[in-house]
Amino acid sequence: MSIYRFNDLRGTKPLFLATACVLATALASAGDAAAQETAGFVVHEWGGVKARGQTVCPDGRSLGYRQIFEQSAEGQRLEGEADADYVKRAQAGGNALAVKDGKNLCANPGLAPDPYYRTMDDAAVVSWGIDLDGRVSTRDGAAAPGTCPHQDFTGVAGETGVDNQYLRLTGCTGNPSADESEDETETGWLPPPQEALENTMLEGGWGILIELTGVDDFENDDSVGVGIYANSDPIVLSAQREPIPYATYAADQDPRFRGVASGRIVDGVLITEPTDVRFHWLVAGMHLERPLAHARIRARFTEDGVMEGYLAGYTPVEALYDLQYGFRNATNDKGEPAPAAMMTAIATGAASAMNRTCNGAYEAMYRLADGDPDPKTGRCTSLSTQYFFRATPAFIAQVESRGRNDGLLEE
Amino acid sequence: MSGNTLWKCAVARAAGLLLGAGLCCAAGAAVAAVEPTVNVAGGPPLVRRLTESQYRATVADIFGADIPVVGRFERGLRSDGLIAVGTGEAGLSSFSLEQYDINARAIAAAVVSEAHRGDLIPCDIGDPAVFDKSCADRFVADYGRRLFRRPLSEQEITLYVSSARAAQEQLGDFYSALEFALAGMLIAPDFLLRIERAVPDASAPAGYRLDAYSSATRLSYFLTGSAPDPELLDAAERGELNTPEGLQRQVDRLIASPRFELALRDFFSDMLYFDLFADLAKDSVIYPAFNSEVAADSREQTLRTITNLLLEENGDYRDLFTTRSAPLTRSLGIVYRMPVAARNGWSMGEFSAASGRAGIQSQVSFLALHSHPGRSSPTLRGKAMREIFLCQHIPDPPADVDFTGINDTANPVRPTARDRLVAHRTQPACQGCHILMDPLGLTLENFDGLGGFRSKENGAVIDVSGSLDGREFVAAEGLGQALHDHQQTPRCLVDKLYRSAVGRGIAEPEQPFLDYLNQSFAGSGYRVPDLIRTLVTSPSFFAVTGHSPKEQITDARAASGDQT
Repeated sequence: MSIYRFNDLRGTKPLFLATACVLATALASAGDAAAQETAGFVVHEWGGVKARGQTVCPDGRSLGYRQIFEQSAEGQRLEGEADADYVKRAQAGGNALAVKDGKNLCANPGLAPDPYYRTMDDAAVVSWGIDLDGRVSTRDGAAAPGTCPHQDFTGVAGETGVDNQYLRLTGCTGNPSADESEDETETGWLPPPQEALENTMLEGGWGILIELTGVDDFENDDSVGVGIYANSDPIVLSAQREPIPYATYAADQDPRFRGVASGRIVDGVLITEPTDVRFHWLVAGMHLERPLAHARIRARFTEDGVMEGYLAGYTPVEALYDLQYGFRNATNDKGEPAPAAMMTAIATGAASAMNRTCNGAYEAMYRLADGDPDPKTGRCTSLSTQYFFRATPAFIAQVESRGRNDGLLEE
Repeated sequence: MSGNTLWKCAVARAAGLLLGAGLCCAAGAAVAAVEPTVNVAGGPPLVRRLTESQYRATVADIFGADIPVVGRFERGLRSDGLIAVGTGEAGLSSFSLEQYDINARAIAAAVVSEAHRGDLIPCDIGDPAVFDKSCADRFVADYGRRLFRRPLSEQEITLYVSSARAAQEQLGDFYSALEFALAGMLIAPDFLLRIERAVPDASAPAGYRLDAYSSATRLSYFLTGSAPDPELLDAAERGELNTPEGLQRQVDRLIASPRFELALRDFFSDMLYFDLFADLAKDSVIYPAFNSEVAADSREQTLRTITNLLLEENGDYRDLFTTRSAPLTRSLGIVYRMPVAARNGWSMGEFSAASGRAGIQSQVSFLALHSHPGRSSPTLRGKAMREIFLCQHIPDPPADVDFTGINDTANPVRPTARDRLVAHRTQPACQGCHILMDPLGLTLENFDGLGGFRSKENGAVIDVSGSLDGREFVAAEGLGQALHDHQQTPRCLVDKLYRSAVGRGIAEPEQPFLDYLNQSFAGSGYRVPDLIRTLVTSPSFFAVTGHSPKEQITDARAASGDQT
């Protein structure tokens, strides 16, 4: 392995850095055949897996607080009521429904159930993803060790055993037209991209680095090392907003944001053993964390050096609720707790905008949870979650990365 | 051999002690470079316009780095490969004068502003409504000496102080009066132009040399890129630059100053045509990694490579063509496909032997600058190498050249630039020049129009074999070694350094001195600081013919039949 030594790294720790490389084909063009053991990638495309084609929600879709109010007798539009007045009244009515006993339900989701929350329970839904528990599971069948009963999806290529309770949680919420717009004939290796999620990543809010070590053959290699790190640097984009390969990114040095696994490459497909990973997440300026337990990668390599595939695992219910629904435990740029009023306001507003309630989602999470059963109660505490990604070749630096204006903060 | 020793040798020869002088020089140099004395002829004294870099450095040195220079600068005229030579040939356009005026007003206003007047006005001003003549006298004399790089005559001081008084009468404010006088000095030819003056050389019968202040100015702009500082002006006033010891003391001081590196950067920026970066453009679809940051960093990378090797390591100049040293930023790391840990700033790396890169001619600055916006150009690169590094002139192409085949990069029959150039060279009008350029440039075809590595073009493996004046080699590494070993490579640097210093071409009588510099350069192991020290401590550096600029103008008018 070729070693690259850096000097004069102002603001960084001294280090030795393994020279990253990409696939054999791309590497040959780099003219450095001696450094084929380490390959770095930065994730530039990312999303949660959805159902293929039109979603199946026979009992209808979930409702947000405002929608629930609008369906009530009190929420009906009054004769002669102006548009602006009705909108204002409906908003206030929705917000009132988000409060129970004087407490905001997004901050306290366990206070009340939500009869309007719908999940995607249909067993016939086809989706992308990989098998996490090694068993074709059914809702009424026996669960694999360390899991709870759940209904697997059938893969787009006809494979069985795709675990994705996160999709069942979210499949009947949100804007239905977004799901229906997906190409029903899509059977590709990956689902269509999700621009909204990628935007926050491309804008530097968060990111993921993947490092392969000890790679002898990108077609078949029975032992490779895999590092899955939170990215500390913004993604370098071209004028066309495409990721530029061979940029250098610093991996987060906090052990909590660094996952290491063993893996193998079989017929050009990387398959890793489970490891716990954790990434940063940013919502409206609030910093959150996205953990994924027992995470696995199943990905292939394209001719232009890109790695594409799935990063799937189990997301703890409480963490998932925090990062996607309630924003509890969010912090500001300095690591201090974000203002409670800001968290509840954004959470309540997002719930109405996404046609769901915080408390409904929270209740459904525990009902759908299929991983990490509590040793005492047997109740599962995490949901199987499938993310897809594309990652471009990159160099990964194991250093503390610092911003250009860090000096100002130290003064 | 030290410059002081050289000077003594030269003086000894001038005194007719040739035998002693020969022994003296032979003892002091590894290669017995003998400085000619009878041909210490020099060229005519010149009027040279300050470059933008020199203008900015001069203003910053005299008034402070926070004094704004807001105007734009006209593009420098490149003459015989150097803008430094063009400074003695270019005229002043109305645009330039307008911009100089903008600068003068802005600088003067800043100097007398409340934020700066306490530091920059050399006297206590009581009531600004009252004109303080003694302060105005001092202000004009002090700054005039720095700006004009010589003491002002009584008549000049009176002129500018009178203008200040006139301003006071109109504006009623002494600061405004000083501002008005200063703006006048900043727009004066004596500031904007380096006007060289000749005096008879006492040590060379019938010979001339620059006067003390012109000598200080030539020395200072060559060694520091800026105007003479007060210490150098004082030395000139005391006549110390006319003595070997006094000159040596000032040369040592200036070479030891941080300004010397800046001057060296200015010289190489000129030599490497870095002014072309202002026009550098690349197709963002073909080269998505290119942006203004890459352009700026690539320029800086090469300058850092040069100063690291030549100054910090005191290395062999020829090693610039073989070095694998790679100062890097993250932006450059993308193009070079090299990791760069530091998010901001520079890291020192090294190109691997397998990278295909060696020498500054394989760095992005050279490769991108001498390419087209959407493709590489072996011809432009070959031409640039001949002209920049070997001082060989390649004529411009004839006006009726058919470039159709060259531009047809998608033609599957001719997938590589070599294929297309072979077809192009069959045109007799093109063959003569292309045979000089292409064999060099084709060896850099492993690098695309931005400088990124590639092994294939349009799916075809790139042949990077080539030759330089009969020596055959392969790829950038072979090219770098060929340039390193070419006898013209160090001679070209000597030629350009000398012409940059004196601001003109080399006159025939100066050739023995150039030969001496070349021998001295070789004797030092091609150490550039030693070469510069040898150059500036030689009487030839200050020698001029007796023609003053005024006489030259008169001669030129007479030659053109101008009777005005």
